[in-house]
Amino acid sequence: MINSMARSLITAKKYYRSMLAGNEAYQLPGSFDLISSSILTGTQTSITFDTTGLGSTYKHLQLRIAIKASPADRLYMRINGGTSYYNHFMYGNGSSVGSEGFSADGMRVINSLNTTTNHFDVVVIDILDAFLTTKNKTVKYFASSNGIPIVGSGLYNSTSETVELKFGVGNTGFGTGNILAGSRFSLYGIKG
Amino acid sequence: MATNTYTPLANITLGSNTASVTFSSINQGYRDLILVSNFNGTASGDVAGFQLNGDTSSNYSFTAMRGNGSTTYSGGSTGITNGWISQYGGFTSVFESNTTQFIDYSATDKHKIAIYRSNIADSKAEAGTNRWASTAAITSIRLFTTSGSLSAGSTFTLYGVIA
Repeated sequence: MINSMARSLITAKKYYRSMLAGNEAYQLPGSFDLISSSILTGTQTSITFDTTGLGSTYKHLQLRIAIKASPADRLYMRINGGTSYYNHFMYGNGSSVGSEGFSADGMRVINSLNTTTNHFDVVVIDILDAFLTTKNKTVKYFASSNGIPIVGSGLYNSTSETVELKFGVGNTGFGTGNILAGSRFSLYGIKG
Repeated sequence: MATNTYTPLANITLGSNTASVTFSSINQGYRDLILVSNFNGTASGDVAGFQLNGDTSSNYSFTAMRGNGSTTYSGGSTGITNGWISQYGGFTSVFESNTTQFIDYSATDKHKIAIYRSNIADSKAEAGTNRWASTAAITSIRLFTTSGSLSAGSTFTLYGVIA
């Protein structure tokens, strides 16, 4: 039914070739997803990621970390709250190449944190087959530790699926040192 | 619409020998940059470095280690005018496979750390870390060799990772 014969001011018509006109381009879902990220605005004594149920979507996990702490000790990671880990890493300190191997109550993913202003230490950690219940959990990581490159691995002798990842700063083991503002902990899932 | 987590930002493939390549006007919408390279150089024994944001001052430091099948080596320097993505062993007839990660490149509260893994199948496995003592976000990356040129066929792809 025509309601009005008044003159219409609508004179311009625009035609678009694409249904996406005015919108962002469609992006296919990827296989490498950001799950969670913590960028600290204050001090914390630990960082925890709950990974329960992620195994239905992801096969592997990756963590990308930049950290400053006080005291500037070492960064440890625990899987599912476990307290027994094997650690091995190699490093180059600018004059020689060395390696270490030891057991600890955490996986030492950064061997030494530095105290220089604005100098954060970084590590990229990969946990392959993080959710398989037929494999013990092995971890590989690559870190810049107080200006030293470190390539390392850790073993958590448990076939349980990974439901929690927790980070803390300590000296000879997992501790409650202060993780400072500006530190960043990001968890990614990788499909497979 | 969801943003892809790991996104290719730019790609450079060399059609001819080139003294240097530069990624400029880098998108600041990501947290990390990952530079994936497969390259060679025209001068045997040459190595590859980088400079950020056009900074040619002595604001870089690095430490690296490598094994060549018979010996290991580690070296480092502070207060130098560039960082390194490949520091030992030098170019051979085999293209080098390299991944360099610039962590928190867009943050303005940190110096910029670049960790790299560099492999040349017939000569070395290498890993290193660099620090650019600037809190500025990285907006450009220049890659170069110290004496010859980057070889034709070399490829460089820059990815952004969100956080």
